[in-house]
Amino acid sequence: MISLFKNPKFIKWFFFCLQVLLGVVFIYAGLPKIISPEDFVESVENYRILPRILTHIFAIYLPYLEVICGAMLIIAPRKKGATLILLSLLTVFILAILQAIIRGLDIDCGCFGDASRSVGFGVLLEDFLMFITALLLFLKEWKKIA
Amino acid sequence: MISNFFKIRSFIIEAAIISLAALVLSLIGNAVSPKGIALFPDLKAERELMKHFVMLSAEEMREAMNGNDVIVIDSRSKNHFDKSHIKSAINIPYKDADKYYDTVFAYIPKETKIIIYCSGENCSLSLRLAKKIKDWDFTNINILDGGFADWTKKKFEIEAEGAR
Repeated sequence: MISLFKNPKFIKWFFFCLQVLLGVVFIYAGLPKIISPEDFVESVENYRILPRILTHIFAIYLPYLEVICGAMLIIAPRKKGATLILLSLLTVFILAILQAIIRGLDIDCGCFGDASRSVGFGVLLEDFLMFITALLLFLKEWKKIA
Repeated sequence: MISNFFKIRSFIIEAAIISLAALVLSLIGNAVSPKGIALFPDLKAERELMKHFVMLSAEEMREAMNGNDVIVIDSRSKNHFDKSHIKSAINIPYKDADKYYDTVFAYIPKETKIIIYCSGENCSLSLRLAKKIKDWDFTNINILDGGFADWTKKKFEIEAEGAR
């Protein structure tokens, strides 16, 4: 297993798969929110972090950012910016979920638009795994320009 | 140290360009989408709208439910309703509300006391559903202040779907 990671060809494929995986997840997460922003506003409001006045603009902006970064991860030759944004977004998501759990809010996570799931440790674990993936991709980009 | 500074700078510049492009695209996308929404919620209009509805505390709602002809509506998603809801409430998720006009609302007298709730004090589903029901000419519309969160905090009666 360890020797596999010494094989440059394997490493290349490994990171390629991670990029496509994370890219697809973010596109899949963003599209339903673009299609029905009103539902996503409700999810944003439920988290009770942003003041009401900012919830609409946030709900309009975030899905586009998710889809664009997801697409860039898959097709763009330059991925530095996209990995940094995804890493930041996942940090924010994890903090938002944590505060919801701590405050005992039983709310839709709003993660993938309509597929309503409650915020909880399952969602937290998912986001943490995505965070690790984004971190690996970020570090790869970081080393590339060393 | 200096090379690290230049490295992080190149990341930040690229991220800033993407963020800006996403902002422009999102504003254009929202403007042309048939389902586009206002950039900022009209809080003044919401306050104005609230005047048509009575806000009830959990205690007041509980007392009102002892009377006859009260309909309690849970405006959250089916998923949350099935998990747990206020006892004897019916589920009318806001986004499907129109589907319920012919099957439910057409048979209810317009002066029936209707109490609507959503997840918590900050949720706007109740208000949006209340507006819809008001447009169907119902006159006695009430909203639970504090929503389901406050109701459960006070340990008032709840049930799960199938428990009835």
